[in-house]
Amino acid sequence: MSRRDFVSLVGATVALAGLSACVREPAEKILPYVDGGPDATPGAPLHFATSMTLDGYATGLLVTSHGGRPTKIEGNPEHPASLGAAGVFEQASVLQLYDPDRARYVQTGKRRGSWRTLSQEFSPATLRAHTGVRGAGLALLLAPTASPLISTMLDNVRNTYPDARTYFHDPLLNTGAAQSAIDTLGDSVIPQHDFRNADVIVSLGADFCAAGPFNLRYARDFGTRRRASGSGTNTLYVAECAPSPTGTLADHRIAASPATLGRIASALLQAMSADARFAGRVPANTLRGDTASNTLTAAERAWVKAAAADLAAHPGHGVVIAGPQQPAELHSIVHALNAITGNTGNTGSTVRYTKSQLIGDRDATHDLAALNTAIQAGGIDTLLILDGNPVYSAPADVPFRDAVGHVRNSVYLGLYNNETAKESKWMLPAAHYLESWGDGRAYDGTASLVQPLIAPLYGGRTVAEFLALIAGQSGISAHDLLQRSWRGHAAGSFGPWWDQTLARGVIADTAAPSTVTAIRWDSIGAAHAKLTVPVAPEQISMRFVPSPAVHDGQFANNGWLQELPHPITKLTWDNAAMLGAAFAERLGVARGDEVELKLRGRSLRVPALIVPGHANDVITLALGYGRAGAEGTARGVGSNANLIRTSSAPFTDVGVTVTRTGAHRDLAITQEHWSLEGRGDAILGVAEASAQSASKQPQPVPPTRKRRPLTLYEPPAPSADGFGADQWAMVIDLNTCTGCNACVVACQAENNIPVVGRESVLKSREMQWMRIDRYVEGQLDDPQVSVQPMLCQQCEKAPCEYVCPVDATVHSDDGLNEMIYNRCVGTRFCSNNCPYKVRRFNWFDYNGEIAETERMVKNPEVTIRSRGVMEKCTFCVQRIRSAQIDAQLANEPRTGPVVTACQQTCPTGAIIFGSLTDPSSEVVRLREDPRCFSALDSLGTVPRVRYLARDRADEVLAEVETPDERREG
Amino acid sequence: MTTTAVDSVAQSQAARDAVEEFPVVYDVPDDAALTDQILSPIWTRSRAWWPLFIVSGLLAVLFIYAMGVTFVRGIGSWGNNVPVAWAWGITDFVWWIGIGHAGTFISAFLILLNQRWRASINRFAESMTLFALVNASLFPILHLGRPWFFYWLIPYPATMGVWPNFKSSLPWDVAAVSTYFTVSLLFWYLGLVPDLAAARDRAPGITRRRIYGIFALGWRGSSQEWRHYRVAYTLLAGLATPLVISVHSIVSLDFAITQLPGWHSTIFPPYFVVGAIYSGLAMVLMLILPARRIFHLKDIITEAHLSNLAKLMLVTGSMLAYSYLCEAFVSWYSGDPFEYYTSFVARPLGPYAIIFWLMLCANILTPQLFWWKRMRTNTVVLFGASLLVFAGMWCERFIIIVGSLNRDFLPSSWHFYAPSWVDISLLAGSMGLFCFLFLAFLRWVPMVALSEVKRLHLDMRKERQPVKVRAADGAAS
Amino acid sequence: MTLIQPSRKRKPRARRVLGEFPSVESLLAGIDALKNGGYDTLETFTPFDIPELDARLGLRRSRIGWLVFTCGLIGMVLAFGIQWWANVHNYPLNSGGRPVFAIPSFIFPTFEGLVLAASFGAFFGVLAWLRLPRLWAPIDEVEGFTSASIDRFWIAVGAVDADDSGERAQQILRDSGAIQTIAPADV
Repeated sequence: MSRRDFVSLVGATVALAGLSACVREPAEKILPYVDGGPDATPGAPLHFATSMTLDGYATGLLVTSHGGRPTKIEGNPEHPASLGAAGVFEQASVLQLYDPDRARYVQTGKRRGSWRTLSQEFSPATLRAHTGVRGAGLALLLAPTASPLISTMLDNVRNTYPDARTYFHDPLLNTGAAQSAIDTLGDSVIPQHDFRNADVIVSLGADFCAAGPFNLRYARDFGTRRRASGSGTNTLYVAECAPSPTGTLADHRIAASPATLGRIASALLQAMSADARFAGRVPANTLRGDTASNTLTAAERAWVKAAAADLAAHPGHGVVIAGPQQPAELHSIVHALNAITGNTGNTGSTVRYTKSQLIGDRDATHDLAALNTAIQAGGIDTLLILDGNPVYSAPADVPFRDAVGHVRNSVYLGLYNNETAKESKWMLPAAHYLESWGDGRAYDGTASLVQPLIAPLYGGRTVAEFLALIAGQSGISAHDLLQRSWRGHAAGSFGPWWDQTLARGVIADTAAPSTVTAIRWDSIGAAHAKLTVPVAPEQISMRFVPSPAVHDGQFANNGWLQELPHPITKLTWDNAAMLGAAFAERLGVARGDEVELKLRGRSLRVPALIVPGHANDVITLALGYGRAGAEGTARGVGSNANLIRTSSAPFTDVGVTVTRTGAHRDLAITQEHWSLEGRGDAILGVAEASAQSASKQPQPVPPTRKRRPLTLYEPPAPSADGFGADQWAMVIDLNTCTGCNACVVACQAENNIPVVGRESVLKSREMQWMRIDRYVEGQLDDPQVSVQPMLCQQCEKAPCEYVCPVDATVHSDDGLNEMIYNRCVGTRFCSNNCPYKVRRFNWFDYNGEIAETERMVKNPEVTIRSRGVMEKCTFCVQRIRSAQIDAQLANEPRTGPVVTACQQTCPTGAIIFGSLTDPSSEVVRLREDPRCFSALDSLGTVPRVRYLARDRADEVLAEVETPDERREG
Repeated sequence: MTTTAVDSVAQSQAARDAVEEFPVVYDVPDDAALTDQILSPIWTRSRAWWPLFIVSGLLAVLFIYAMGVTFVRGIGSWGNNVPVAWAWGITDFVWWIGIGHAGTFISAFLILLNQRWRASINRFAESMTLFALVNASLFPILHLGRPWFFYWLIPYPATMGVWPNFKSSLPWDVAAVSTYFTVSLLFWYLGLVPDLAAARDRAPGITRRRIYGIFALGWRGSSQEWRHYRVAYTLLAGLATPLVISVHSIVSLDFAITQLPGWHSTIFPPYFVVGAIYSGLAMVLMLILPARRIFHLKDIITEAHLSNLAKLMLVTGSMLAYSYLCEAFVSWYSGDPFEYYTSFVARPLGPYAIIFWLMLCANILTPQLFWWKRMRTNTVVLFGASLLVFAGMWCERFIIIVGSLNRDFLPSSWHFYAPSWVDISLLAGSMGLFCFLFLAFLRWVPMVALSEVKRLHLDMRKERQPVKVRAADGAAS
Repeated sequence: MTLIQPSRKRKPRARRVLGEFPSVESLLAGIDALKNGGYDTLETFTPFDIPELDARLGLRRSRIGWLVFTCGLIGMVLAFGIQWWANVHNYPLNSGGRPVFAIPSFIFPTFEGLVLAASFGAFFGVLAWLRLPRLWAPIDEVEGFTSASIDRFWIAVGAVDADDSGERAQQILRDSGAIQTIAPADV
């Protein structure tokens, strides 16, 4: 049966079940975010606060529900990890809810089971019969979590089965970071960074603006600080291997292989310790070993010198941050760096430490390898795998697939019939978080509730419910379990507290307190010595990184994410061996050439992809691809990096050999040209304007930017009926845009944008209305990378409009370039005449081919486009019109603030939208900024979307450093 | 023998001799024999015709199949993408409509200029126009995302009160192409009426006589009929001539009204008209060279026709070369970096450089052969050169359309274009349909304008006294 | 010979004598001779256009040009009017910031409207003027008349002599070189 047949069959089944016909509200009382009670106007959307957990940490969300169907995810403004923003995974998770490939029934082998038989099979009595009275033969494998509810439930299970063993597995979890904290700070603490007060930020392999548990918050803080007028901007130094969204924002970026990154960190520490201002802070003889900077290149030394000088100049106002997947030694050096410069210390510091909130993140004795050993040793009768996909994500040296087979009875609770489900005796459908009652903790410890927006579509259960089941609490619903676990927390009466907390989503005052730490310099010295050990130059490193699209593989069946262009390489539907240009030249590989990677006796064939700004002598490969489960979308996409990854070096390994196989693979890349072709000024704004702004002095507006284009025609007068009262416009700040793609997915979710598939992307037929253009200038190994969100520019003199033969795209009175989909006949003339190429065309009936459940995710406010119709961004016209209707109903003179989907989710707040006729709007203010420009201004299209040109200080670094270098030489 | 005002045409005989290296018609048998010769393919079967007809018919079936795929699956079955939203389909459209131009040009324009050598080839040329237009008008409809709504481009009183946007060049296209097809059909048919009458009167068997009789509309050649017919036909020619110019000018505006580098050019209207006539002349040559041989028409389609067509190709080819030069010059002189890039980097060095250079060689170098008289009458050279120009002009449209679209303003959106099998089938199939229709024309319609050739024959005999006459002209003496 | 039988009896026309000539020269000689003989109502049937005949037969220049001109004018006004009605009057839309009354844009369809209407005028005008299609006419019954579209030139002489024999006219025709003459008939 082909996938399409399967999908249509499944669709028919669902339709028969009446899923799409009726509303599936959860049985328990759920509470919307806004006041007014759950009984709102029929047809009007409601918003509910909930939270999504990723890698153990929760992010608070607001979910839009249309008639009982959750359709859109936004960030919860009150949640510290979100502040109103949502990332790509949060945005796309709503599609996962409706995924037709999700597991639908309890299954034992090929047979269909039920929760009733399961609850008999796994009642404490039965379990004890098999695993011993104290549960010695019982093993649980969980993903590390910070959920208080699961923690409570786990305690219940331990009480019931005192000898049961609990293991944790997360393919992205770096025990090294936790180990480093214990070694250097004496406790399992995690750093909390405050970028609002950071003047100087030094990132050592950390993509803190776009990845990691607190990235939305960090990005927001970073962006707020960078955009704040008057106080000057912050300076960001990034040393990283592969270019990342954060790296593109850097003022000074340097490409560094893993070994070089360690030496750079050490050199930085040496430079700081040698600084007179910090004399005595590092105990003498701590930093033995080589002088790290000796093995660095001139450019690397210049970078270290500049970063050290800048950090020293801003004591207490700097942040040094290491990437979560960096080795323990690097984390140790970073702890030391922050300590020396006084960034840590009191509660108002830029770097604080709190106790880690995660269960199972620090204990190597409870990881997958330990479980494997235990199973091989015998004695484990029943294995409960709750969440995750360990058969897929297990490192190559842990034969976990076989281990599962060795166990008499195994249970897998998960969303999909994936690799782990296939090996397990029991497959239990898990509830999606949008169907679940639960809770979670953010990276800073703040607890939030998970409330369902919809009853489980496929009868799934949560981890907590299953834990309750084996603990003998099968009669209690998750809702009651959750209420029980929080009952003690309410200050006064529980009922009102619960209602209020549920509605707002966040449990107040639960953030973890700062802990006081002291550096153990001996361990710093050890780390320094280890990092400065010279490595053989011919050693080629191998890096395994989470995919920015499918993460560790758990989102691999999500079409929005598979089709999401990689922030830097713009690769979709695939992973590739990313490598630097010089290295690629040495190897003789070009883009798409298949290479065989041999690492520790294992090999993997992947296509090569040359990435400008990637460090040389190192290969970066994303995890999460090469899935072999039953998920139709994920199967066969990319290559499984876990097949050559080992538990001893899960993120960075050395000694890989790269050979060409001679084969070639097409890579579905949405943007194939890196170069600006000398058009930088027209596309990314004029450099002088940036320089002026960087000098922090108010400059007169250059006359060339403010001129109206020559035109024969008077601008049309706004109409008298009120629709011309607002003139909508957008400003995008290129200084704070990371290119993280959150807006791209937000737009896709809001505007019902279809997924077209790999073949169509290869033909350049992707449909995303918002795209992030990425340009590279300068040396391929040390380039200047620029990103530019490109969406319909809403030109006042729109070239697309006058060429449309049927008036299917015309201008509204409030300045929107409108699309009338049902009038479009599909000549595509408008696309040809669009200089920004932001129009998208329905080459096939993309929306007609989706499963019944996937239809439920569609936003009813937005037309579903049929085949042969052009579409594009309309500034979320549905939101504008809705706000206008609200204003009219309320007799307001002015339409209230309208927030577009991309603006709402932008983590750094780089997108600003508003009306030009509103004198108080930020758009009006920013359009007067000397950095403000319109792309391809000379064409006279008069775009309503404008950009703030990027401030670049790269040249400054070179000027400052050259005399130094000369002196040293 | 009375020789009064009959030979008014022959007045400037000396001037004609200077221009006409070859006689425009050789001594032919008398009018009855000529009629029979021209009409014989209609009554008798030729052995070569059926295989050709079947092969081209099969290609036409492929055309229909590819059209079906386009309609049922969607325009995505083509290779088009964004940025190259127009590609082979519009290339084929512009190419076919360009080919159509030589027909009307030869027929109508030469009438106005009193060029009598048009007489023996105008029917070929006009038919070619019609069949090329059939193909040309299919492509824009096929190429729509929702082709079943093509009529939305036509102003009709819809209940919703929605109208086409006449600021767009596409409704102009609709007006131009439909007018062109209609006027060409009327012109072709009106010219055909006396010959259909001849076919009626020579047809063996009552059925054919009735069929041709219906199409001849009861033409009897009376002095009344000729009196009005002459004026109406000349007026149609007079209307068709500016129409020819307007049609390809409007087609060129599909490109020129945009701001895309490589399209945004004021030279486009004359450039396109010249290119259109150029490609059409090549097509006419490719059609009459075999027809002349197969149907033994060397007496009436003489070296004069070949040479004149070759000269016209030389002229239009040189004008085209000038247009290329002018376009490049303006790209450079404008100082616009985008225009410059398109003209001097993207096209000559970009992904379609081979096609660009093929276009230049085929369109500019090939006609230079025709500076030599021997080349102008060598049928092999003529056919080969026409074939090259025929292909070269397709390449030109491809370069203008795809070569401009695939690299426009933002390098981020640049993307390569490759045709799908449907694109290729549509092009091959449209050629098949053209051949199918043309073969049908040869088989069922008088292929030469009999009445005009008879008149021309008469004039020529007047000019070249004494005339060696094979049959009984001397009945009067 | 009958192609299609007349459906009803036509009003009988003036009886005419017919002569068939082998060449243009003899045809012209015949016309001159007939005119000299006092026959003014002449009509010729020729396989191709002989413009010189008009003067000899006393035919004026066709006035179909005026019809074509009028049609063209109507077409032009209509085409421009449709565009004005559609884009300016009935549904004015802001399209690309261009003025709604975009006269330069309207020129092209206006021109095409002119040509189309004028061409219809020319084509259908000439058919109407000549009352075509008329698939059968009495003259079609004349034996050998089909040669008029091939290689022979026919003269029809109206207002036959008082005795209705047409002998004199036939004689003139024969003298001028007619290879065949037909006695007076309702043709």
